Amino acid sequence: MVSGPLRAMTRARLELIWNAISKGSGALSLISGAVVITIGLACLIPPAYMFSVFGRQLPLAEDVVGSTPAMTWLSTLSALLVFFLGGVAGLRQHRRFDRELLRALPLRTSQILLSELPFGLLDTIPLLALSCFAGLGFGLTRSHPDSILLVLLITALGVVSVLLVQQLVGVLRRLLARPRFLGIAAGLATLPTLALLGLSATQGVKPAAFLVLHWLPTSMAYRGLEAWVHGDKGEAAGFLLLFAGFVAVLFVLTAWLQLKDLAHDPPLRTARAGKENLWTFERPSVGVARLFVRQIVATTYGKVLLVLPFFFTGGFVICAVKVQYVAAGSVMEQLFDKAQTYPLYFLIPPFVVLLGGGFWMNQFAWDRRGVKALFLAPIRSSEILNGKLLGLTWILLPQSLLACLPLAFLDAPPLAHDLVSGVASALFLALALGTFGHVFSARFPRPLTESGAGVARLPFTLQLMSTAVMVALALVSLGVHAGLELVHVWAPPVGFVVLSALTLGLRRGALPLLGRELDAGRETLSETLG
Amino acid sequence: MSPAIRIQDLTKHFGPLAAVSKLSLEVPTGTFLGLLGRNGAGKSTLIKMITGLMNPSSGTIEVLGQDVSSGSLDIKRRIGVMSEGTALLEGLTAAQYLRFIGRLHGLADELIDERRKELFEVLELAPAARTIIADYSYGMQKKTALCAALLHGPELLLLDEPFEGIDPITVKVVKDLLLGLSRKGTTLVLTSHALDLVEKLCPVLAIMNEGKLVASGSLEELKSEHGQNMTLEELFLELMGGGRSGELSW
Repeated sequence: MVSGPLRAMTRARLELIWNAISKGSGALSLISGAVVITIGLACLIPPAYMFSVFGRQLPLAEDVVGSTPAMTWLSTLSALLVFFLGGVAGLRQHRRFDRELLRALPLRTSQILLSELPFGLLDTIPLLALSCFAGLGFGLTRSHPDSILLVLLITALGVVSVLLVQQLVGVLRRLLARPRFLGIAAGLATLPTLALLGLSATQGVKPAAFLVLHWLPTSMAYRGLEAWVHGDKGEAAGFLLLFAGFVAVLFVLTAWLQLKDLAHDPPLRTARAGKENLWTFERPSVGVARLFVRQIVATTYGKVLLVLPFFFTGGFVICAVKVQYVAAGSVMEQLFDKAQTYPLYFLIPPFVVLLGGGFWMNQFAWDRRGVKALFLAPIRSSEILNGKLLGLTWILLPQSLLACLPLAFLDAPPLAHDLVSGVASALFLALALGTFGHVFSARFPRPLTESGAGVARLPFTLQLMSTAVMVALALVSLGVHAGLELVHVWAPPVGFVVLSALTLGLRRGALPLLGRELDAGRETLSETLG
Repeated sequence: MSPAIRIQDLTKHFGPLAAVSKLSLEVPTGTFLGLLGRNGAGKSTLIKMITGLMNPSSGTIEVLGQDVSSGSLDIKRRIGVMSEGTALLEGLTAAQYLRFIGRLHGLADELIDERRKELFEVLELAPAARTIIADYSYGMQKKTALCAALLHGPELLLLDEPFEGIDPITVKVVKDLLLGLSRKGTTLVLTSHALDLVEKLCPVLAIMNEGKLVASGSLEELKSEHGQNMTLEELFLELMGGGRSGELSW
C-alpha cells in the first residue's frame, strides 16, 4: 500500500516541525511564531492581488489564438514562476531526513518524493509562486467564469510543477558534485542551447525567443485555456494533456534522480587549491577573518547567500532590458524606466549589506561545533570579534560590488560619485551592523542545519529588533546621502567615510564590553552550535 | 607543588537539574586520571567547566594554579582539550585545521608542519590530510581532534571519550601515545565508557553518578575497599547499583 509509508513519512515530518517549533518555547514564543506566520502570509496578499488584477485584465477572449501579447505575458510569467522561482527554491532545498535513514527504510523513491512535495511549500519562494498562481487563477476565473475548473486544474498543476522543479534542482545540485552527472547535464544543456542559437540565426533573436516561449511546456496550460475560451475544446484538451505530461515527466525524472542520489555515497571533497593551501597569519584576528570567509564559502547555504544579490540585480536588469521588447509602452516598462532614474549604484551596495543578516546577525553559526575550538584557543575575545568584523567586510563589500555588476548592462552609465558613495555607505553599514551583530550573534545563536543548507528561524521579537536596527541605519544612510548631496555630489562619500571612522572609534572603545558579552555567551554558543 | 586541577564544591544547574553537585576533586600533577560514570553522570559537563566552556553555578576550579573563571590565556596555552563529540572547524582540511590552531597557539609554521606530519603518520591521517574535515568519518574526526589537542605540547590533557569511534589498531596507538605522555609527566584526564581500556591506562580513578563524585582514588585503593578480586567493570556496576537484564519480550 502506498498510503501507509506515505502517511508515516508525512506524520513524522509534521512531528519534526512541531518539535522544532515547540522545543523549549513557552506560550509567548508560540504566539510570536503565530504572529510571524500571519504576517508572512499577509505579505503574500499583494503579489496575489497584483496577479489577480493582471489575470482579470488579460484579453484572452478578444485576442486571436496564437502568438498574442496576452499569451506572451502568460508564457513568460508561468516560465518565471515554475523555472525561476522553483529553481531558486531548489538551491535552498535540502533533505529533511537523513540519507542513511531514507536508504534504510523500505520506501520507494516515488513515495519519498510524494511526501517531500507538499513540505516544499514551507519555503517562502514556493509560497510566493503559489500566491502568484492562485492570484492569476482567481483573476482569470473572474473574467472567464465558465472556465473555473480548467483554471483550478492549471493552477494546481502549476504549483505542483514549481514544487517538482524545487526538488529537481535540489537533487541536481547534490548530483552535480559528481563529474559523470555534470557531464550529462552539460551535454543536455548544450543541445537546446545550440538549437536556440540556430533558431536565432535563421529567424532573429526576438522571433526565436517568442517561439521558444510559446512552446515551453509551462506555456501549454495557458494555451489550452486560450483555446478553451475560444471554444476549441479538442485543442484545449491537447494542450492540457501536454502540460500534464510535462508534470508527469518532471515527477518521474526527479524520482529517478533522487534514486541515483540516494544510491551513491557522496564523493569526498578535497582541497583543490595549491599543494595544501595552508594559511599563515601573524595576528589571530586575521586568521579568524580568513576562517570566517572559508566557513561561509564551504557551505551551500553560504554560497547561495553570497551570489543571491547578484542574481536579484541580474534579474532586475534582464527584466528592465527585456520589457522594452515585449511590453513597450506598458505600465511595466514605465515602472522599470522609473526604477532606473534612482541612484542604483548608491542604493544597491548598502542594500546588499542590510540583507546580509545571515552573515552579520549569526556570525558564529558558520563555525558550528568548531566554535569550541575558537574558545579553547589562547586568544582574547576581542581578537575573535575583530576577526569576525574583518571577515564580514571581506565578504560584504565584494558581494555589494558583485551585485552592482549587472547594472552595467543598463543604458545609464555608472556615476563615479554614486558608486563610491554606495561602497562607503556599505562599509559604514557593515561596521555598524557587524558590531551590533557581535552581541546579537553571541546572545541569540541559531545553528546551521546539518547539511549546512539553512538556519533556524529567528523568533519574532528578535526579528523585530534586528529589523528596527536595519531600518534605523538605512534611514541614517539615506538621510546622510540626501543631506550631503545638496552640498556637493562628492560630499556623501566623504560623509560615509567619516561615519565609518566614527563607528570604528566607538567600537574600539566598546570592545572590552563586547568581549565580555562574548565571554558571557560562550556557554550558550558552545551548547547551541556544538 | 600545586595540583594540576583543584575543584571545590562545584555545582552546575540546568534549570532544576543539578548536572554536577557539590563536587570536590584534586588531580595532582603528572596523574593519569580516568573519569568514569554513566551517561548523564556529569562527566562532560565537568570537563567543559574545567576548560572554561561552561560556567559553574557555584564553586571554584583552579587549573595549573590559576582560577579558570579569570579567563586566563596562559591556562589555554598550557592545556590540550579533546571535547565531547568533535569540535572541529569542519570547512577546513585536517592539515589546514592544525595549521590554524597551531598559529593561534603562537607556534611557528615549520614547527606546526613538522609536528603535524608526525602526528598524521602515527595516527594514520596522512592519506586524508587534504580532505575536508566535514567529510571525515567520526573516528577520523576524533583523531584530528586528538592531533589538535597534542600539537602545542600541553602540560595538562583533557580527553572526553577519546576512543569513541576509533578502530582497534588506532586505539592501541593512542593508548601507547597517552602512556608515553604520562611517562613524560603530562597530566591526563580521560573520560570513557570502555572500562577495560581505562583499567589498563589510568592508575587513578574518579567515578561520578548523578552529578556527584561517588568514589575516587587509585584502582588498588578502590579494589581494597570493595573487593580485591573485582575487575573495574564489576566495581563500577556495584557502585552504580548493578545492571538490569537485557532480554526482550519478543
